[in-house]
Amino acid sequence: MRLIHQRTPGVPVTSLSLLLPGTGACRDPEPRQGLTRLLLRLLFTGAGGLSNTELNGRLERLGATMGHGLGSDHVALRLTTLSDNLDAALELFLLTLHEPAFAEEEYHRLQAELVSGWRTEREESKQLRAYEVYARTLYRGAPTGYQADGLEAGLRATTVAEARAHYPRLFGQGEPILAVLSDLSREEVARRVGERLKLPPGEPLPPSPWEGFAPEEPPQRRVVIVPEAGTNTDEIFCGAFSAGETDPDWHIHRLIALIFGGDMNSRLFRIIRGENGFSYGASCWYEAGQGRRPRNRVGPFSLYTFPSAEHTARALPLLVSLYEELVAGGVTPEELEQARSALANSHPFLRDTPQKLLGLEIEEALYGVVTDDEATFRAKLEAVTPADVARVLRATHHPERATLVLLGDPARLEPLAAALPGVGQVERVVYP
Amino acid sequence: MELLQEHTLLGQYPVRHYRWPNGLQAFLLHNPISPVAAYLTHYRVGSSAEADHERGLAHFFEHMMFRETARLRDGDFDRIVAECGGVGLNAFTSYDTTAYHVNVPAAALERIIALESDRMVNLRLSPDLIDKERGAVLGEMHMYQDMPSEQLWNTLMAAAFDAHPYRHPVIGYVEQVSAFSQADCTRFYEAHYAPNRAVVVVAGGFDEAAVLALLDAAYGPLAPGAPAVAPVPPDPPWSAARRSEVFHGKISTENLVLGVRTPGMTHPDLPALHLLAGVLTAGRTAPLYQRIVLDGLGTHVSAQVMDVDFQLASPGLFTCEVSLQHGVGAERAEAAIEGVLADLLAGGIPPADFERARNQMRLGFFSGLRTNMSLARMVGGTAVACDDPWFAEAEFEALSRVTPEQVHEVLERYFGSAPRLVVTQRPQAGAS
Repeated sequence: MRLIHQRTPGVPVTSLSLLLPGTGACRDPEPRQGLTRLLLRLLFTGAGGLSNTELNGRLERLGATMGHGLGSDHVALRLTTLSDNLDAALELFLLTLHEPAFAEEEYHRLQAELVSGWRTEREESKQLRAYEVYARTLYRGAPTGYQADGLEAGLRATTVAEARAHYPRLFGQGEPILAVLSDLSREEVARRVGERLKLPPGEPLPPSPWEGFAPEEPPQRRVVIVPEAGTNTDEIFCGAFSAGETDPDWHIHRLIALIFGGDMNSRLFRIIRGENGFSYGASCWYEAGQGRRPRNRVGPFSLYTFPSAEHTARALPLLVSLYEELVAGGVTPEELEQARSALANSHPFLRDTPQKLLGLEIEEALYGVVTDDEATFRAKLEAVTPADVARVLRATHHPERATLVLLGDPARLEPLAAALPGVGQVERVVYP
Repeated sequence: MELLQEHTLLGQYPVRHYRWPNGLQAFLLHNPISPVAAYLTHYRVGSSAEADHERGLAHFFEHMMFRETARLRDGDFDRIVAECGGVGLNAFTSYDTTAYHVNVPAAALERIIALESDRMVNLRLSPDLIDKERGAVLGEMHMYQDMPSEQLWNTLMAAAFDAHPYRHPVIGYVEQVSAFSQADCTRFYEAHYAPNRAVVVVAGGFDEAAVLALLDAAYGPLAPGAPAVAPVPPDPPWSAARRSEVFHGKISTENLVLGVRTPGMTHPDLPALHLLAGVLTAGRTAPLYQRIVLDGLGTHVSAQVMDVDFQLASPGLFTCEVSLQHGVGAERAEAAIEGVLADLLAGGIPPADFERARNQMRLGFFSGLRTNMSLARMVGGTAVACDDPWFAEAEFEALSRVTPEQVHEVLERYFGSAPRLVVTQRPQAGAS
């Protein structure tokens, strides 16, 4: 097991993350999307003969909590505790890892809670509803197209036996990483935690049918309408597969994202919000850089805005035309210079807190993503010309093949979608 | 300027508190491990200062602060901040304060100080830009209108307060926002934005003498403005229980908030009330969590004192909020809350629950102090809310002196026979 450590002087808290690569939400078997999330929640509900209340009661009185993180391609088992109580809290964490109860009663309660919570979260956010449809459409059924919390149907269908059977598979994949943020020194953490943290035996996961999957993109633009009447704003996502974080031109991609829709000074924000007042926000990003998708694989470049319904007729074609103009016309020397300054001068914020330093080490360990030091990064940025940006845009951006998802009143949105140039297909997808 | 006080925050961050003859106050907080700085400007004005015909003007005006000044064209502010490496540029308006914040490399503080001092007194409020920004603000309002939680919050505040302006949404009402004029904005600016109405906090790693000189040069010559308006007196105590029920077309589960009136944030009962909130819901073994979540009634429960965290400087509320599971009526959650309160009233605060609550609150407090901006907010937020920059630190220390008996006393005082406010949100019959 590899130990990664960052010290947080003056903050008497120790946070352990046991990272288990090669697992995660993308390894949920179909049609059990949500299995890993259910399993992880169940894990902390009793162990070693202690009930849920007994286990967590002891832990919470120590000023500690256990929990999890769930990525598309890894799992994190977490313990956070007041450092004074590290030894006692770790004892309970180890008990949980080695002797989980996986009680049937807890399972059924949790299942009902998660199903209900899954639905409530989506009812609160139509942005999430639209984004889910967008990601599933882009990834065409591949597990990377689902949110880490799974599907309502998957959560309902999963059984406690399946959860129990999946547990050893969390430990049977890549080399575990122990990431620690603490006021204690690395040596002390290694002695008090690293030496005691033995993992349960693991089992291999069956091969994923999606390994190496590369989504086939449509020959021309497609639009998916998610019909919802009575909304005050519409949701618009637009994007196509573009690049991953291990791309040698990743620094140029970062410049593109910043210039086009990365902050308040970007084209999308300035034109859609600042000059026209169509929407409260407009932005873009590379999915690989967001952590929702594997960072080291090619992922979509996404545009997003949510205009007031009365402005959608103008905001939608404007968004698409701005993307086309970017790819066709590139960026101006002035824009490039501003973005270069912004990225280079903000570089210290990649490393300004112990948490961020730990995060960079985790990314390197999980994905092989190495973040340049400031001097190297500045030199790379200095060398970028508008012609380089144009080359990367032409090679990796395809607005003519973009997928658009529009959530709102279909009677209003369908004519707008049909009027967009180059649209080959308009379909309706009712959010389940 | 005058050095008012030197203080070591949390025993590790030296802070110097300065005041200028024009009334500006500034706090320079040194974080020895940080290579960057947070710059936070709190103004002593929020939506509580608005007249009845201008609800939402404080927030609308906050948007205008990012536009044009006598020295800068529209767009220059965002561009300059980005170019010098600023990240997280944003602002928020609440009931009693408006705050502007950004993180910058220390070398960029000179430019940020110039920008912030410029817009404090030199803003240009052209009708054209007001109209453009109105679109963005209305877009923000429309976005919130589509969120069920916003309806619940607005209903709660309107039911809890009678004459006090907390009853109105900070963001205001569409009809009024649609009509804000150049004269309205100019009047608001002249009445509320001036050095004597502002508190500046610079937190991080920087040359303090140099930054102090920059602040002095930029802000020192500015003329003071009108004094702060007197706070609106609190409503009289509730004479009877209150109930409010709303329906929403986009939800399938019910929500409930049960609250009682509590005194202002500086009242000596507040630390014990915070601990009471922790006793009720901090952790999976908290009695309300058990009765609501573990017993399968709901997916979420929280209890909190709505004071400075909610930017309520005046008398506030103690609330218990529940998200129900599918098919469970809000009445069952209300009965469960009352049952837990009755048990605690009759039996006292169990020592294990008290210990859990206190340690969980310690864990939460320390875990929340990991960035320069969180330290800056800790100082600046209470400097404007109650004229005590060390208030949050003192409150935290006070938690360690609270006894279980004192928690029981406040439980009796505020819940014993006090009238309740109960707000329920239910699915609209027949809606999808």
